Amino acid sequence: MSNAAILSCYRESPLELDELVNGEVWSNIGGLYRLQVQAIVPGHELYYSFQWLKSVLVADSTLMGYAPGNIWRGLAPSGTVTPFIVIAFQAGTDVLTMNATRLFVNPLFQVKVTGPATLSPTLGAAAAEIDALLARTSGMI
Amino acid sequence: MALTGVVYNRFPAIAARLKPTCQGIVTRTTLYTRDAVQSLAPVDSGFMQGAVYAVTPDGTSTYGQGIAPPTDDAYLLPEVRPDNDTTGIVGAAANYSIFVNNGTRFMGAQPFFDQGVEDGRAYLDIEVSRFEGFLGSIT
Repeated sequence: MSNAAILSCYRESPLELDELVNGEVWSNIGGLYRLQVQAIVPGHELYYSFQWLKSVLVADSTLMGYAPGNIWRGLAPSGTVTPFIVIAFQAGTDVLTMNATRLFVNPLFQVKVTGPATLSPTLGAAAAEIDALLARTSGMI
Repeated sequence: MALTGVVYNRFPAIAARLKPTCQGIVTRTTLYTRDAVQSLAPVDSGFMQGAVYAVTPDGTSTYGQGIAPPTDDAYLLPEVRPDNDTTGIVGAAANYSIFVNNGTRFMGAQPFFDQGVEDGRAYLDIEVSRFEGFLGSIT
């Protein structure tokens, strides 16, 4: 039995953020993805969301080939092999009935691949693969 | 034989109130969103929080009213202005705001802007649901 239904997942906006670190430019490329999550088994919808996002991404061998540093929640530990993927919760609201029964949750997640700008072609390909896996999809976890 | 005709024509009165009503909704939502973003902003020096600003449809702006940049590498990004009189702007003008909101290679995201916008979106839904009431009675 599934824990939650991901009623929909779509990209709300693209993301590209460069940072200068000790003279070296690092790039973050990805997007902000909106989910609609309905818990089937009592549990936290955001935890289910992280589980679903990670399960979808990690199952794709092409993507994992682009990102040998693996997938991390919130922040990758220091020394992680690059490029790596980070999934972070950005915002969210509950959708309630008039008497405050929760129907589903609308979380917004940042999903990005991070690495030195010298690896931009790989970062771009990974971001495109992330989008192909997540944009306009749904699922169960 | 039935006779029909227009006895009352209130459309001009309704039309005249539409724009001010929309502007009022946008103004209140803009200020609410600015307050939401500001209240969620992490505070170290207070520069970034104070640099969150709003520009309402009438052009009134709170840009640049916060404290001075605490260090040489912190500064205000240029002000964004609405390009028409039914648009409001909420901006985070500190040059490093996006790195706080989205995180960096070394730092996890502290998404104050996204959650503030989300709160503003919910507030807009409430405002729009009261649209008829804002239009008022037309006699």
